[in-house]
Amino acid sequence: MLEDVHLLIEQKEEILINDLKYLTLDIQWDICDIKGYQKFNKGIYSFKFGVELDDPDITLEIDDADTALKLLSGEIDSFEYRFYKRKAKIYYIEKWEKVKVGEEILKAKNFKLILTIRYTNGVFYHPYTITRLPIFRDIIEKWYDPKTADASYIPINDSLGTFEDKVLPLKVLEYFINKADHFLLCHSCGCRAYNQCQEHDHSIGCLYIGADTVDVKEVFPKIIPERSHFGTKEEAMDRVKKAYDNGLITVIGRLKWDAEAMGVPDRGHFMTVCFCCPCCCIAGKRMFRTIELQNMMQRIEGVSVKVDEDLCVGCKECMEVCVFEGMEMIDGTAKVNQERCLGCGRCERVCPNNAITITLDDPKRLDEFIRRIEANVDVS
Amino acid sequence: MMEKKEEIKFLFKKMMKDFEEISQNDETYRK
Repeated sequence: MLEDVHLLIEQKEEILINDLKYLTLDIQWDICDIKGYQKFNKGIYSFKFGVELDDPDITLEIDDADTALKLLSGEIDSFEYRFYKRKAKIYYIEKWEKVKVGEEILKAKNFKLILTIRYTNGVFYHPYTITRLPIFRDIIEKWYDPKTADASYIPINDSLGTFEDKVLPLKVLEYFINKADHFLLCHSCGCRAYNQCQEHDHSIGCLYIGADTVDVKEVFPKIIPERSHFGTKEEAMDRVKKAYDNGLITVIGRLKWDAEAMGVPDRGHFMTVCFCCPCCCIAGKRMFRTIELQNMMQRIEGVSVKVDEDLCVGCKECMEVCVFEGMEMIDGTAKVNQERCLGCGRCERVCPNNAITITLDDPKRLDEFIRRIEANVDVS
Repeated sequence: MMEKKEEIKFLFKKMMKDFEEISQNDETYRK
């Protein structure tokens, strides 16, 4: 049984991608013994209150009346899942509380169960599948509110040129690192470790910048010193340079769930700096399948990506490297899907025929980009 | 408890019913 669960978890990214593309699901609800079902079949919807299905795909069980009322009234604003044998459980952060550990008073998230997903017909569905349903989609939308989730990829392409002799990511990060006094450096990249990346350096972990990073030292379970440490401006800049040399694309911005994952309530003084590879980026592979989550990532102002149709031979290398489905193949030629493309520039770097160009229309756009990021997250 | 159950019933029915309209007007659910 345990082996089965492990297999499902290993496959969950693929399962999720499929689930989100085609919402075909029979859901049995059991809310404090109140029954009802919803059936979704590629656009055809039916439901009935007070009835049980013979063979639902999943059963959603809520045992606690107060939690049920909170969910149904739209008062829940976080969504975390855990896998168990033949079921998954969805939790929300009820409160942040202080706990005594030895002589120290630390802070911990107190999770409360929302519901249990039972896989009643033996087929596994990723817990994120239910975020397609309005009641859960509302939670995700709150969680990924653009005010608390706004970030951009900073391309590293040579074709963009330099800015005062610095490549784009170094120029932007130099600005924020100079402005800040607090830097938390993770010892490894969670995405690369999770996916056992063979292509890129695991030790280039996320960098967090801003005054609220200091609070991480009070978090339980402890993240410092085993998983991260506080560093200097020089160390932070070295991390950015190392990522650039390693071909990793930098993401910067305010990402509420990153602060919360590190045990700090999001207050707008916690900047995420991620160094992403196309092979392992969990955000790219998992999150961008839903419209709400796509919206939190924005292309840098003034960046455009174009394909020269005369040079494109339709080899699909660009499609394979794009984790955002930002490139499409139409009549044997690559076309940029302008709505999905985030301007990370990976496609240009792999194109064997130099058919793709990424450009920034005006160097002054950098100021515009920095202002946007600063409007949401203050690193000073 | 009975009051809470009645409220749950009301909101639960509403949630299921509301989706009918949402599903007809939202591209996400017509794929």
